[in-house]
Amino acid sequence: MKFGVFDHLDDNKIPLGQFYENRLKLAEAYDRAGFHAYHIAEHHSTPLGMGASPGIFMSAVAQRTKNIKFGPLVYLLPFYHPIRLIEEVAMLDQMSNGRFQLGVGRGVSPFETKFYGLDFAQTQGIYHEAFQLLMKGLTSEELTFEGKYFNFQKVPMLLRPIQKPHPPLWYGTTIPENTPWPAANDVNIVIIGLRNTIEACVARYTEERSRLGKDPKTMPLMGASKHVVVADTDAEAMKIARRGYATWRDSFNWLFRRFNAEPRIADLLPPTFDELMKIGNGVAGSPETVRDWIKAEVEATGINYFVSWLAFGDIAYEESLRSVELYSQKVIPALTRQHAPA
Amino acid sequence: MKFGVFDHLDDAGIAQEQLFDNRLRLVEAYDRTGFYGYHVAEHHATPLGLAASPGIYLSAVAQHTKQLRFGPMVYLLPFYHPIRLIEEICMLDRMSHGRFQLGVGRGVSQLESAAYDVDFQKSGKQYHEGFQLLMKGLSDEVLNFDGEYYRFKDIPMILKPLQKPHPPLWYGLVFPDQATWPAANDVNIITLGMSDGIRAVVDRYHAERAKHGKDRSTSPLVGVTRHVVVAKTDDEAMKIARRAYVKWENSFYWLWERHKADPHIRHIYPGTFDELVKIGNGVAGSPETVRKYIAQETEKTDTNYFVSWLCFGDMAVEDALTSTELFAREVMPTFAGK
Repeated sequence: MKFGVFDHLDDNKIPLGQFYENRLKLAEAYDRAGFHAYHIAEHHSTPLGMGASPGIFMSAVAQRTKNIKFGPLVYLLPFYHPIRLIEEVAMLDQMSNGRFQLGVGRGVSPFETKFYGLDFAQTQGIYHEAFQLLMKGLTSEELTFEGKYFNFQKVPMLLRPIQKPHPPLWYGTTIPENTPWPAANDVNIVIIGLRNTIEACVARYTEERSRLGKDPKTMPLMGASKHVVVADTDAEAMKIARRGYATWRDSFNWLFRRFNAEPRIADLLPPTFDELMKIGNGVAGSPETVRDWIKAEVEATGINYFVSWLAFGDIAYEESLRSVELYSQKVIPALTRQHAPA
Repeated sequence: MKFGVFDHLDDAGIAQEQLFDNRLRLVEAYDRTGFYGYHVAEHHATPLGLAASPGIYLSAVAQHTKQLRFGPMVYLLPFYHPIRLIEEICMLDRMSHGRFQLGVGRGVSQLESAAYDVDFQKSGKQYHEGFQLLMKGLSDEVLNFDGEYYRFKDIPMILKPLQKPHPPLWYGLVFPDQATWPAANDVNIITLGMSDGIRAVVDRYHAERAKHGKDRSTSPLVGVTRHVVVAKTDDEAMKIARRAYVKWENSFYWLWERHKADPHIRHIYPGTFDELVKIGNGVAGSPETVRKYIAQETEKTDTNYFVSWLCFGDMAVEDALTSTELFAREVMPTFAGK
C-alpha cells in the first residue's frame, strides 16, 4: 500500500511568489514524510491551476526534494511541441536522479483546449500521435516520425532520461472502459470517482492484466484520489476543509461559469465539503477518522495507492503542514502495518 | 561596469545528470560571488546545448540562488507555443521573486529550426509576431491577438510576471543594423565576435538611442561575451582552456558537420584556444592577465557588461569553480564603480 499527493496548484488567494514557495515547502514535507509521489495537474487559463507550465514547478520540486517521486498528472500532450516535451521529460528525470513519473493525457477540458488554440475534436488524434512520438523520442538516438499531425526527420535526440526505457507511465481515468490500455501497457492509474467506480476500474484493470498473463507481483499502482484534511480533532479538520473546499470549488468552476456550462463531473463535486463527505468523495477528520476512512475505502475498492489532495483552496500553509505531519505520523504507519506485505 | 556569465550547457563528456549537478554548483558560486546575470543559451538537437528546454534548467537555477539574475539568452520564440511561453516566464519570475531576464530571439540556426520543424524562412516574421504577442500576453488581463501566425481571442491571462510590465528584455546581435530595435525599446544587448565589429554595434546602439532622446546615463546593459579561464598562472589557465575548448568546439560545429554544412564562423571561433586568443576573442590567464584583457576589451568596445563563458567543454568543475572565485575576488573588484 503506497500513499501519494495530488495538487492542482489552485489559487490560494495569496501572492503567487509566496504561493509557489509554500507549495515547495509542502513538497519538502511530503518528501520527509515518505510519500511515494507528488502528482501535479496541468491547467491553462483558469485559477484552478496556477502551475500552468508544470515542468517549471516540477523542476523546482526536484531541487527541493531528495526521495519523493514526482510528475504531471497529467501532461496534456496535444498542448506541447513533441520535441520540447521529450526534452523536458529527459531533463527532469536527469535533474532528479531518476524520480520523474510521466503522466500522459489528452486534456479533458474543452474550454482549456479552446483557449490554448486547439480544436477539441482533433485532440484525441493528436494525443495518440504525440504519445507514440514521446515513446519513440525518449528511446531513440535519432527520431523520424511521419504522422497526420507531426513530421520529424532524423532529429538527433541528445537528451536521454535516466530511467530506461522511459520514466514510469501514469494515466488518469473515470471509467472502467479506459483501463484496458493502461493495463496492457503497465501504466499506473489514478481514478477519479466514487467508490463503485473505483472498484469497477480496479476490477477491470486487474482482469485485463490477468487475461494478458501479467504477473500480479508486478502490478502497477492503481490509485484513488481524494480531498483529505487531517487535524487534531474532527471539528478542526471539518472547519479547515469547509473553507478550503469552497475556494477550491470556486476555482474549479471558474472556467465553466465563464462559458455558462457545467463540469462533466459536477455530481462528484457538490457545493459543500459536508456533502462531499456524504457521497464518500473526501474526508476531513482526526488521524483516527482519516485512517479508518482510508482503510474502508481501500478494502472496498482494492486500490494499492491512495492519493490525497492535501493542499487546496485557501487552506493555510500551516494547516496543510499540520495535516501532512499527522498523516505521516499517525495515518500512514497504521495503514501500512495493517497492509504489510505477506 | 557589470559582470555576467553565459552558458551553452554544452556536452562535458560526462553523464548528463552530473553535468546539471555541476552547473548548479557553479551557479551557486556565481550567486555567492556577486555576478549580475546568468545567461543560458537555447539549442536543440545538438550537444552544444543540453538545456534544450532552458526554462526547466532555469527553474532549478532559481532554487539554488538568491540574488543572481538569470534568463535565456535567448528564448527562440518561434519554437514555443506563445501561451506556454508566457506561462513559463510568469512562473519563473514569480518563483525567483523577480530575477528573471527575458532574452528573445528568432533562432539563427537553420539546422536546429529544421530539426524542430520550424520553417526558417518564415521564422523571422513569426518571431516579430510572437514578440508582440508576448508583450501583450504578459500584461493584458484578457488576450486578443489577430496575426498571420497567431490568433487568440478573449484568453484569460491568469498568470502575471512579478516585474511589471514585464521582465527586462535582452537581445543578441552581431550586426549594427540589428541594434535599431533594441535601442529604441530599452533592450539590453549582448554581442560577440571581434572587437571592432562589436564597437560598430555598440556605437550604432547608442546613436540610435540618441535619436530617441535617450541619454547615455540611462543606457541598458551593452555586453560582450567571451570564453574566459582564470587560474593562478597563465600556463595553468591556458592548459585548462586548450583542453576544454577542443570539446566545446567539437560540440559547436557538431550539427553543421552532421549535415556537411559550414556556419562560416571559423574566423570567430577557430580550431584551437591559442588561435582564439590570437584574434582576441577569449582569454585564459592569471587574474592579472585577465584584468588587463578585460580593461582593453572594454576600452575597445565601449561595453558596460562583460559576460564570461566560465565553464565550457569538458572543463573539470573544480577548475571552473576556481576560475569563478579568482575572477570574482581578483578581477571584478578592479572595475567596481567604473
